[in-house]
Amino acid sequence: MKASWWLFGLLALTALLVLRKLSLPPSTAQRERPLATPRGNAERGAALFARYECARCHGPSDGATAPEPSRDCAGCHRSIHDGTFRPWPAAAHGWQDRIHHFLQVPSLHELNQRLRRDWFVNYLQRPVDLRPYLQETMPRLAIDAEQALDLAAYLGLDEAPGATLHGNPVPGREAFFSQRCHDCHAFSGAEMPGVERDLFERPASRKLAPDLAFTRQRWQPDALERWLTRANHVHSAAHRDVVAYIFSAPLTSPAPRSAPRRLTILEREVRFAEVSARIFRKTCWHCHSNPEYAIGDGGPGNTGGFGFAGKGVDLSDHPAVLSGYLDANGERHSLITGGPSGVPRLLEVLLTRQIEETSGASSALRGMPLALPALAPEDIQLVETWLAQGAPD
Amino acid sequence: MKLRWLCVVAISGLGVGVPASARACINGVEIEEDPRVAALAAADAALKDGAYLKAAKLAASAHPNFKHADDRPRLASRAIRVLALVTIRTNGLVFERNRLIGGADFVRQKNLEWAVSKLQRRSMHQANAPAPLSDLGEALTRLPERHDEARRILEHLAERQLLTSAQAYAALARLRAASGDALSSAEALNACKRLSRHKHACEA
Repeated sequence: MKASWWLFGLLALTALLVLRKLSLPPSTAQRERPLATPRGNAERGAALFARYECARCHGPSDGATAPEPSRDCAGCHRSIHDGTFRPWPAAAHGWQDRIHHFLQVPSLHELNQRLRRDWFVNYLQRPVDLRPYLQETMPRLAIDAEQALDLAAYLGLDEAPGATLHGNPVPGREAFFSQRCHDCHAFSGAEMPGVERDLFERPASRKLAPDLAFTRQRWQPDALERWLTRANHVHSAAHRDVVAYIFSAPLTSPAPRSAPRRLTILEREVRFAEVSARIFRKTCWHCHSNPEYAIGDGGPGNTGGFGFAGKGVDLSDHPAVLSGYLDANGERHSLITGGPSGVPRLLEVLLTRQIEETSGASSALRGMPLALPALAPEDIQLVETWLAQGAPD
Repeated sequence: MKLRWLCVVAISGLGVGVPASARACINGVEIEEDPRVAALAAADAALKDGAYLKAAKLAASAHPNFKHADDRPRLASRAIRVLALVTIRTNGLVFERNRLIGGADFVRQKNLEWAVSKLQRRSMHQANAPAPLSDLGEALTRLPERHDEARRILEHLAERQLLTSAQAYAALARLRAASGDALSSAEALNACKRLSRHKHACEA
């Protein structure tokens, strides 16, 4: 009898503790735990850097060798434009008009002297449109928090101590505009009188300028001040004040954007040749190609790349498109007929990209084209019409 | 025109026509700059159009020694695919001395068996890839003793909407009709007509 009372008491106490654990908010120490993030492992980070093929778009990290030519998208595009593409420099000249992307890419040089580690870790997992004048965006790779920390360790990013602002934002604002910082930088949510202009009219060199609305999460004030001094972007006496302005200017929340209206399908006949010429060959083919024609490499969207396993998607010709895609279990499914969502996969990824661009909402599905602007509604309409007609040759 | 083809053959004959750095830009470069790739792409298009002699000539120009080529190198495999499908779709003609020739029934039968064996090897090298399997399924319907195998392959792909050519749907329609299943045969034939812009693709 006595033993059963003891047992009952023990069970009751356990239940009470479990209930407390479930119902109570986390303690202050628990809430603040994410601030004290553990250090990553630089060695693992180096392997991840290679696995996610960061250098394919960004070039090598400090001290590392350049990627091999077949894995150097930015280097290849630049060589076409500067006339050094081998072995066909003359032929490459004719391609210059077609190649607009991955010519200016954010460098990883001295990243550890610029970025805050917590920003970097979050950004790798949930990229935002940081550079509004650059059409390319950081793709949403399959990087988890631990891997992001390892990559940060590899690139030498450390947890920086908190810093306070020393400058005066009022003269800082004056200096900001008199030095014409706004010619290159967007500052979303800040009052920017008289600087509305077409984003893509700006010279190519300005494409890389980040939106300063993110500066508060990306930089520590003192690091930004040092960088401004080194880069000589602003007259030295004004550095502190400009930093103070960027860090303290009131920012309004951006207005919510919605995905473009989906156009009704066309009444005319649409054949593969038209869809291929206007969309597949122009936008998709480079990453979803035929390994037989491309001497073994079907591109990251077919044979794999950027840390993704090969999805087996080849958009180089009609039979290839009808061959579908591979799921995570290696099973083939059709691209052109309704999948689990009822929408053909080919259409679904194009619509997902529109949503990613506007609301930022994300699902397990990656919007396509990865890291590039969504197709125009008229292009999506063409694909949808072709699919509705049974994807004819 | 002749000069162009001479150039194609001459450059192909060099064996390794594409330096390693050409791989940097993947498909876009090869298809525009490698004459073998350009010839094969044109051969594919001619095959689709039902221009079988043209398709065979183009494929053979890309790989003049296709008869002895190992199936593994990718461009050779692509050339052999075109030549094998020409044989299948012409019911046993082969490309010889710049024309398509047949001969007695047993010769055509041997030719069809050669084509099936080539397509079978190709599908084995690309396990479970729908396009080579569709080609193989279509080819097997030319050999009556292998109709069961053909039906298994084609039905499996059709069920998953993964048949990759109008001719494969037409082949499935013929098999279904032969087994007395008129309704599903008509379905396959409709799928064939939906896919192809060429009437010949869906003819028996």
